[in-house]
Amino acid sequence: MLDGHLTDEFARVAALHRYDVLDTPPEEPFDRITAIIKSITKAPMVSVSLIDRERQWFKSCIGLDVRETPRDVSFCTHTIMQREPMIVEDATRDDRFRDNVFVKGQPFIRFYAGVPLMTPDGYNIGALCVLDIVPRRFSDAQITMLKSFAQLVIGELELRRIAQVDHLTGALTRRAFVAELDRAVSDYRRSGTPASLVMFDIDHFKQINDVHGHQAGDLVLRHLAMTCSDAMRTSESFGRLGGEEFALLLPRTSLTQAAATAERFRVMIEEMVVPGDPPLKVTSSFGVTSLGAGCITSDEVIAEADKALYQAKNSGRNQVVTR
Amino acid sequence: MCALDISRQLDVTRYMGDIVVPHVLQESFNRHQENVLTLVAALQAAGLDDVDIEAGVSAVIESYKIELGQAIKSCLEI
Repeated sequence: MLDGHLTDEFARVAALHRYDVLDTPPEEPFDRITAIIKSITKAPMVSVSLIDRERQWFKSCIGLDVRETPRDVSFCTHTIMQREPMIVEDATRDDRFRDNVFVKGQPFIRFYAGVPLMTPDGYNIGALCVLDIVPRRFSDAQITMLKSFAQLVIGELELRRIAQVDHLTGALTRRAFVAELDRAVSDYRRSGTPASLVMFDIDHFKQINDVHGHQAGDLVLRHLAMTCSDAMRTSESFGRLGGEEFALLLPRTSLTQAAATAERFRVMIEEMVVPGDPPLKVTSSFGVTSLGAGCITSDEVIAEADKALYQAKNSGRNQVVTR
Repeated sequence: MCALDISRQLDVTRYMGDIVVPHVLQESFNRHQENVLTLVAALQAAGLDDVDIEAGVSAVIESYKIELGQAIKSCLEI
């Protein structure tokens, strides 16, 4: 079961992306771990390396001046293909690495010890590694120590992931969703990359809670979230902004395209049957907007989509309004 | 520092004062405690002295404590 995870590259990359950690700034918990390892091992280079589709990206890195490298020159891309640590005592004597650009040139790596960073569901998303410019050996005790630190790295990542997800629906929390929106806004300001925001709200949700109870209400929220998640593209983000209010962030999507997506979701929700006694049906109202001249901060984008949503509610509900 | 002292540091009340760790974070929290205990044993086996172990482990616990606090806050938001 687990070994299938080593060869399922698509699922492995999806597992990495679920942590939403790539291209985030350096953070103390990871930097502390690499600093402690450096101090203990006296090695010049230590890194928390995450292996994306085409690149190796460092969440924390001591002794290297880069934040990322191409994947094909990465030692860690070999480490993630196995369950056990990978130790290369002298890279110049290893056929896999003797011609590596980082072995033949700066920083002239000779020694590498990497422990896979394995998620609780069994995917190796990267490696915690120690590198040196002289050949060396790691004792069993040192390898065990590195494995323990790798567990702590995964623990830190997992803690962040849990905190980003609303545990009732599995959608992003408001804070995590707004962080995604902030990134889209930055992209728009930097390169004009379009993005659209769809906000929607379940119509008459209070009545469901009042008439059928909060458990039924929670079931509706979960069912709706599942329906939406199943219909989304991997590049899109889905968040729960409040009680029965949700949002979709659609990168590289124009207002017209976003309105079409919102309409598709509206119909899907309208047709959804929430199993129970009695089975329940709901509708939702949608507000859609895009990043643009009058919408260049996350707050402005949310406010604009919220106005459109309010208009949809006031115009009879179960409809899509764009602004 | 011996493993027993670390275990006391890992006690939830020392981590977070009176704040109770929400159910959704409990598993992650338990795993972190286990990982720290394993780390202490590994550092001891690697020949580190108690002062270095205490410094390293305290740093790890301190940063986790901050992250856990933020995670708890985030879990309570909706």
